[in-house]
Amino acid sequence: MSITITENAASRVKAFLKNRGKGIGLRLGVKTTGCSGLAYKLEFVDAKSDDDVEFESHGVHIFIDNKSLQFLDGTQVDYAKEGLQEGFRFTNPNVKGECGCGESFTV
Amino acid sequence: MISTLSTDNLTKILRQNCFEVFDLSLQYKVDHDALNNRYQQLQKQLHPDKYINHPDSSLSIRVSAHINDAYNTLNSPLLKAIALLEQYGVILDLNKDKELPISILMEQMELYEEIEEANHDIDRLNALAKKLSDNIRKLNDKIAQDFESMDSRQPHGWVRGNDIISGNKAQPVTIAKAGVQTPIYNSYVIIIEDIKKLAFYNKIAQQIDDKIEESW
Amino acid sequence: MALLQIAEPGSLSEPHKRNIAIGIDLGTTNSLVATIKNATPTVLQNQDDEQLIPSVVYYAPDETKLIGSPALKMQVVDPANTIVSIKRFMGRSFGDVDPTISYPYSFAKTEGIIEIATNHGYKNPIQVSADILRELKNIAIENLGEEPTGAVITVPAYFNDAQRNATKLAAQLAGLHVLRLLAEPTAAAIAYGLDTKNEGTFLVYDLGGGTLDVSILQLSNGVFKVLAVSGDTHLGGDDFDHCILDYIKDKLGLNKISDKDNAFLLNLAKFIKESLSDKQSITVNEITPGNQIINFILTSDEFYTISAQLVQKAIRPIKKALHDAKLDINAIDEIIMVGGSSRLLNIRSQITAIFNKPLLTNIDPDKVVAIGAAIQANVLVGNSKDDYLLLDVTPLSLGIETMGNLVEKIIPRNSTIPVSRAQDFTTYKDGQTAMTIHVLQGEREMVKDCRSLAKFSLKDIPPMAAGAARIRVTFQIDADGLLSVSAQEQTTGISNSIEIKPSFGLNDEQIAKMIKSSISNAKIDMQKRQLSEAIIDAEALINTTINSLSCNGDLLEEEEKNKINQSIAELQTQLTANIELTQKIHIIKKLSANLNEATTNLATILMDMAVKQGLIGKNI
Repeated sequence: MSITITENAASRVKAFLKNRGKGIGLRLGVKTTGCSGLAYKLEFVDAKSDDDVEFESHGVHIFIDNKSLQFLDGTQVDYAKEGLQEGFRFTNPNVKGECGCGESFTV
Repeated sequence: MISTLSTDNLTKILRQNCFEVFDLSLQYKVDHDALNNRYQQLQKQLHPDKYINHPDSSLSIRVSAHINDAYNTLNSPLLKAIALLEQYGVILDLNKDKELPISILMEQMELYEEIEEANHDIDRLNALAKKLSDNIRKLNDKIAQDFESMDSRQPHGWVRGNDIISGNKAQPVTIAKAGVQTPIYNSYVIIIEDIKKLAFYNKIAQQIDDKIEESW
Repeated sequence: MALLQIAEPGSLSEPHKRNIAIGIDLGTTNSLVATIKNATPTVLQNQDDEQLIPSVVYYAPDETKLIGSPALKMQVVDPANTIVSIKRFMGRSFGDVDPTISYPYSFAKTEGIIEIATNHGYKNPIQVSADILRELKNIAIENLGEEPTGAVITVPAYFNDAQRNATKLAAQLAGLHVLRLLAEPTAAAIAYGLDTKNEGTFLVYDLGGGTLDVSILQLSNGVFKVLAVSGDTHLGGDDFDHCILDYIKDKLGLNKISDKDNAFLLNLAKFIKESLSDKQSITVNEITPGNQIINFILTSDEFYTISAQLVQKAIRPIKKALHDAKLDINAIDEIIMVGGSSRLLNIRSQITAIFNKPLLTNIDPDKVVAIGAAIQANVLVGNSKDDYLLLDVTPLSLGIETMGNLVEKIIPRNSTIPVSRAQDFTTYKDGQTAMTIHVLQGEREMVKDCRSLAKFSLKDIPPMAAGAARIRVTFQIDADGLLSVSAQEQTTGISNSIEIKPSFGLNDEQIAKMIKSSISNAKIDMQKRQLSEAIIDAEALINTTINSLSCNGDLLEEEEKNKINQSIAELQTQLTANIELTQKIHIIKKLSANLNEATTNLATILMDMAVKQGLIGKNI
């Protein structure tokens, strides 16, 4: 089981955390909504929960709840710029299909 | 992303004159780079496009229009001169005060004749337009000097001077009313004459422009 | 996938809850709808995979109406009930209809707005445009699965206040929240300018089906400022079609032909025009529905000759725009070509010759306006982090009537909008308590040569001596280019303020009637949307279930598996069933619920597995 984050993304996360003034890391997760079944979630973490699995990559602590982990195993998080927008991108080997807007996916 | 302004700040801008809006000092020579930068920065903050579905959206239309108006004023030598004069307490309303200074009556007749003769000859019209724009540029430099010499002598005296001349800020000042022959009031007369001359040149330039357009 | 931002714990919004903004190019010939998908501007397709939707509405003898390509096919069959190029009539009255063009419609002989007799009764241009816009909105809903939050609708830069108002009202009738009316050439410049990020001065040449716009814009420090616009609202590709049509009729001596044959020949003329954009000559060999034999050859040289006057007319606004912007030819860095008719070779060669520069055509001239509109819509709803700003101008001077039927200009053309100007008026008789103000738009000096926008009375002026009252009238043009007027008596301190919206030839009753009939359409729209959502949800559910079954199906009893498969099959057949809207929504929702119930056990098993795997992961 592994989750990785690129160096570029890690530095952005650290910068965001610093700006925010508090927080111990980054939460990755999935939710069962959206037009293709599942959607990613990305949040700051203030405290670790009991059912969290913790990873570390490029100095960033990543927390994932057990239920989400099966859908995210092997995922790499990168920070990218596309045209006029920028943000985090998930490269998830488990994904079989995405909805039109790219916000949700199926495994 | 630049944030929008508060209701208070928006209404504050509405009350500012064209110089205050752009943080410019009260003088005729304007730093156009600073003006353009400030204009762009302000519009990026308060244009109605930034107030979509916002309670202040209709206020932002008014403020944005006010900024456009101020920008337009500072980019037009004539409007700028009138606005600056107003800051010294003199309201010059060219719609009411149409009387032309005697010094340009001759020139006026000559110019009208030349336009008449040029008829729809595009080359002659272009030459006339060129002549006019040279005149306007020279006059513009002179008005700048007019204001500078006033500034150096008595920058704050004008408010008092105006009380003497018109007695009431809301009334248009005419040269005839100015009348008093002291050095300060003389420069009043000179500047008002020059501004009227500029307005007249602009009008003629517009007429030539319209004729050029007609000839296409 | 979409790019994500980090959210505060627990605050994460549901996916798809962000604002969906669309850009609509409501064209004379074709209309398009675009949106930003995965940070890329995309022109949306209808169910027949079309992006260019013909701006045509067919009002059938029964209740049905056809929009787009199906309607276009009816043009030859029933020209009187097939409304094409309606944009030409927007904001115009019957008196404005060009008598030299023969239309197959019968117009109501009314004073105000144009009305065309159809199988569905009299239709005005706003209603016809609303029908087109509603279709575009439905295409967006079908693609996006939900109602767009807002729309940017493009209009020719040279549209006057009446035409802009008509367009906005049409969009509102179609149930769209109009974020902004955007000038077409400006939209094109956004599409190019933000694509290349090159600062500089652009000239946009936009020759559409019915209108010509020329705009000059400057991009610097993220501000797009329109310097000048010019154009001709009565010139477009259609005129070149009519030019060829007249040539055909003249050459073959077809003076009196039926409306059907005329429509047939007009389509033929359009085809010839398009063919001559990449061919030297075209041989025509056709038989009209009325059995006229059409047989001739037209070379591109001959076409240039017969259309030389039109081309001249189409070039003139370039000169005017440069003049107004106080720029010479060398100041233009890029020339952007927009609109289907900008493909005309004689137009392109003329413009290349004027500027001695290659023309920008790499974004499809038919789609560039819709793309720019979508980018702007996305910015306006706050989806984009870009802080660029667009500053447009008013294309026509605004003035008021003064003594002697003259127009006094109050806001000159090419003023940056929003703009407002106040003007003081006074009474000319003792005790006068009312006065009339006539607002006009146009460049000419006489009232009769300008477009009348509004005539209104200022009432309840306190009786005073002549010239004592001071009424300050404020004229404001907003960022959509739309006028509003307010008035206030200054001297008495009586704040008798009035608000006038120009009525562009429509009275309150007509507007009320139009809104009423649009409500019934809105109900159908809502149902269509619900159906579309239900179908998307159902398909997602089916996909997820099939995937889970194929991976982990062996964990289930055969009986349970069969039950799930049966539920899937039942739901799938209903997705494509051709039944009444409300009934279909109900059935799909019910069958989706059944499938959900049938897979409860499967979901529990999968979740348990995941938790176990997660724990294993932790131990390792």
